[in-house]
Amino acid sequence: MNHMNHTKKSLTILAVAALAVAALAPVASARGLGGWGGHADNPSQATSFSENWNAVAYNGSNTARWDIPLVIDNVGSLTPVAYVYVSGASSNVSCSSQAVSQDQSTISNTVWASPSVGNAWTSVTPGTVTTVTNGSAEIACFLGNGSKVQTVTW
Amino acid sequence: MKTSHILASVVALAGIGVGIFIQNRCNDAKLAKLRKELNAIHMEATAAAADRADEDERPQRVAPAIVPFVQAAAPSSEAQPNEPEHAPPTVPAKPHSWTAQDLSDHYAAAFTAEDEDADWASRARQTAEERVRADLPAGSELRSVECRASICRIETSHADRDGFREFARRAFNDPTTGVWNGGSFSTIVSGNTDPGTPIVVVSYLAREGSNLPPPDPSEQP
Repeated sequence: MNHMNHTKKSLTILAVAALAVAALAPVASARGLGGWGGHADNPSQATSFSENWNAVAYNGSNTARWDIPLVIDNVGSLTPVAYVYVSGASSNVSCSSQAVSQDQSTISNTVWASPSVGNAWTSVTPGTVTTVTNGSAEIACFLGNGSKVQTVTW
Repeated sequence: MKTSHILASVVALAGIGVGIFIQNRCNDAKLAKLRKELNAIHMEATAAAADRADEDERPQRVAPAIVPFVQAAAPSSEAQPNEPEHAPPTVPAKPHSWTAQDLSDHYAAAFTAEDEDADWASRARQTAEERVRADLPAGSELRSVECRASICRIETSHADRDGFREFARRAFNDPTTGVWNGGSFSTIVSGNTDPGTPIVVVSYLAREGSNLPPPDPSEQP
């Protein structure tokens, strides 16, 4: 009887320990944001952007830049992915991610990357930027008329 | 009880007593011999220690249990390898954050590690010099451009932070004015805190169409 009690107690302790470890283990999480969560880089062009089911759509001429800030949970490298609709040629959308230190003394940028196809919903991954302590990051996209940014994930 | 039985018992007891006496004598002799051997060993050890002390007059022959961290870390001609008791006490790992200096060191190391692709480096340097000069705001100067195989190092100076930000945006973040479409990293290396002193900036620019190699988490100091 005593032996049974001891075994049960041991199993209970093991189960509690396993649950504690599982609760403390880092969860592989991803951040996401609708395209409308950004802003026009040039305020005078803000009226040329509109919201469309959480996406941002550009309705103006030529191209204009839309900046989307990225929440940083942990200092380190970020690889944001923009899911976009390209209206016309693939070059009508190009995106770049950037990171800036708190005192703006350090700035890093990725390339400006365009989707591989036009007239389609597709994703753009400009590359990885590394944030420094208390720094910030964003992804910026130039959009041609009719193009959209639906979401950004990182 | 018969007399013969009593005598036999006395004799037996006497025999046992004699046996015990003889055994004790033997044990005493063995103990004495062991003491002698121990004394001899002790004398030899003392003599050897005295000899070593004569040869080496360093004050501390025995490693202390804890050595001050600076002493343990400092390179010394007297450093003794394979002395685990000299290792500094282990410090629990703490979460590390990248600093601008960490990143600057990383990109500097990546640039320095490259062999020169003479053909690309020559053309890239020329292009970079022309375009950087075009992107410099008033009060800014191009100090140097050096290119290797896939990265160029560009050093500029600026009258103030606004000049640096303007330059960084035009040269590396605006596709219409950029030096070329490559990933970049720029950081102020001097003049950051002294008003009136020009700000010196070092930028690393990846080959067109490429990003700079991001630091690996394993590089975290």
